[in-house]
Amino acid sequence: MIEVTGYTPEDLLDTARALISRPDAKAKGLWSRAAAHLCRQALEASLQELWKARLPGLEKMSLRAQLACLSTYLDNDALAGRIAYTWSALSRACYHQTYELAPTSVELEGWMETVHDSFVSQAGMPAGKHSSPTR
Amino acid sequence: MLLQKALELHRHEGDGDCPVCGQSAALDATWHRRAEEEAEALRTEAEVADEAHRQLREAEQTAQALAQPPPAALSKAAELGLDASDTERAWSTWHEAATLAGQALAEVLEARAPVLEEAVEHLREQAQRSLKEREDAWRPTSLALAEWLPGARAMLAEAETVKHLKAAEDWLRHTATQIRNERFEPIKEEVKQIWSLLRTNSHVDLDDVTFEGKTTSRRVNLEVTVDGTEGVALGVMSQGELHSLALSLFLPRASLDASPFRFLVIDDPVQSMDPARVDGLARVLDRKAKDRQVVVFTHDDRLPEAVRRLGIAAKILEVQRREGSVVELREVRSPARQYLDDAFALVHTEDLPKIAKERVVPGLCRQSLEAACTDVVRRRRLTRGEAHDDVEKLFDEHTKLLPRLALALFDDPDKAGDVYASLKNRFGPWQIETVKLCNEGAHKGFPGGDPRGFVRNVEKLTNELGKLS
Repeated sequence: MIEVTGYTPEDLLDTARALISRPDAKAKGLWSRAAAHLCRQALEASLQELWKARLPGLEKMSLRAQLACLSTYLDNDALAGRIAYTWSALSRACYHQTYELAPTSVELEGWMETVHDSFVSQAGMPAGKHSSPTR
Repeated sequence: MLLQKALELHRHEGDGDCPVCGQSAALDATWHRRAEEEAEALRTEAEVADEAHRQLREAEQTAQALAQPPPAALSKAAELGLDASDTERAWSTWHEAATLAGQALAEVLEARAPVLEEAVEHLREQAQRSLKEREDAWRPTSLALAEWLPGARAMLAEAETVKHLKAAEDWLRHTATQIRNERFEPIKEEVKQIWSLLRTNSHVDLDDVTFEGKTTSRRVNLEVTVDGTEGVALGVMSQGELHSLALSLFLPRASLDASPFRFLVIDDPVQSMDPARVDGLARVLDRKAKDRQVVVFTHDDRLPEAVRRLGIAAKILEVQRREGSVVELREVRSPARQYLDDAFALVHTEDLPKIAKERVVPGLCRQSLEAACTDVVRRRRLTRGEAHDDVEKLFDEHTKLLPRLALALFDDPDKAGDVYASLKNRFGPWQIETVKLCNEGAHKGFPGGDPRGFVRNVEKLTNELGKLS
């Protein structure tokens, strides 16, 4: 297994956001795919943290299994659906898709918003209740 | 007479007795003178009587002549809506007088003349009224007619000219159509050629393209056959076929020698086109690009991919739009190369956040390998004659890195388990670690060490994969 440096999901999402919003000649052209990778990792890492804290062991399951459990756990079908959709969209962007171009900034913003909402939702869950995500 | 004979006797015989009555010496000079006077008076009286008779006969004839039969016109009065029955009756009675004479004639005429006169007068009034009515009715028409007549006469006089003009107009129209079709003839051939390149496996054959219509309503006739049956292009063609047809019509026209523009700009011509058609489009555009600049905007990598695979010389620019419509342009060669370039840019750029480098580089490297595999497999299978659809389906079914590597190395996606061994043998044992790092690092980030060396290894592997046939 590969040793991995630890970043929080928030770190990853903030970096993605910074890449998108800050015009930077150094990141010219690569910011969108880079942001997609960071965003996907932020989402996956936040799920890992969630399961480690709440339902240890689930974090070792496949992402599809984790997403399937999320709906029940969050008790919020709409948000769970958005998160599952966003993960699948991010995965498409992070694999080479024949004929597809890099994601647009508008697509990325939508995905980042969902990832952010998933953080907020988890933060407000100690009693096992869901809170409505703020935007 | 007797007296005259007596006078003649006296002249011959001289004085004597009366031979008639025997009176002696009755015939003498005195008697002769008296007798002559008497004879003269009698003669004058007879003449007067004769004259009176003659005048009477003349008067009778004149009067009879007056009693003419009713004129033929009377019998036609009814046709004109006039009632002439009284007049006819009076006139017939009047005519009866023609057979009478003398006193009876005069009486009859005198008695019947006023009746006839009154009837005729009445009829005349009727006739005059009717005439006036007819004149009133006719006047407006006659005025209009008077106005119309000069024009009509002029028209008759010019009718011949109009005939010539019509003939000239027909000729002009006919000739214009002919010229248009002749000018279109070379275009038509090219349209058919382009269509044959773009149609791929369409069942629609384009038989002829003609122009129709005049003045403001003109249209193009596209005669097509679908599997040999005649049809109307728009009714039977799919969206992709219609796009192809529109391009077939547009390209030859837009690149006429007469056009002042030595370039073509085409916005998203690949819409609704299947990959095989895109190959045809790339060839068509390549041909056009021989003598003009061709600029194409497109929203995905299908046309660039076809251009790269078919070895067509083209400059491919990627346009990206940041927030606030900040537009970035950069030249791209191939997706595999692009991912690598991005990875190199990340590791080489000092002031990018460390987190971005560590977390993004492995993902980009994996994408570079995936793209390299996709390119080699597509090229191999299409060259072998496989259908585009089948090849694309293969990629859809095997999206992960190891099956794609298996496809590239063994042409068999199910041999993913043999990939590492093959990598080790063909490209060196360290490339196993490279692939593993790509796969796991895409999720968890780069574990430290030498990111530049890692990306260089990926570059080598990408290049080696690209050389596979």
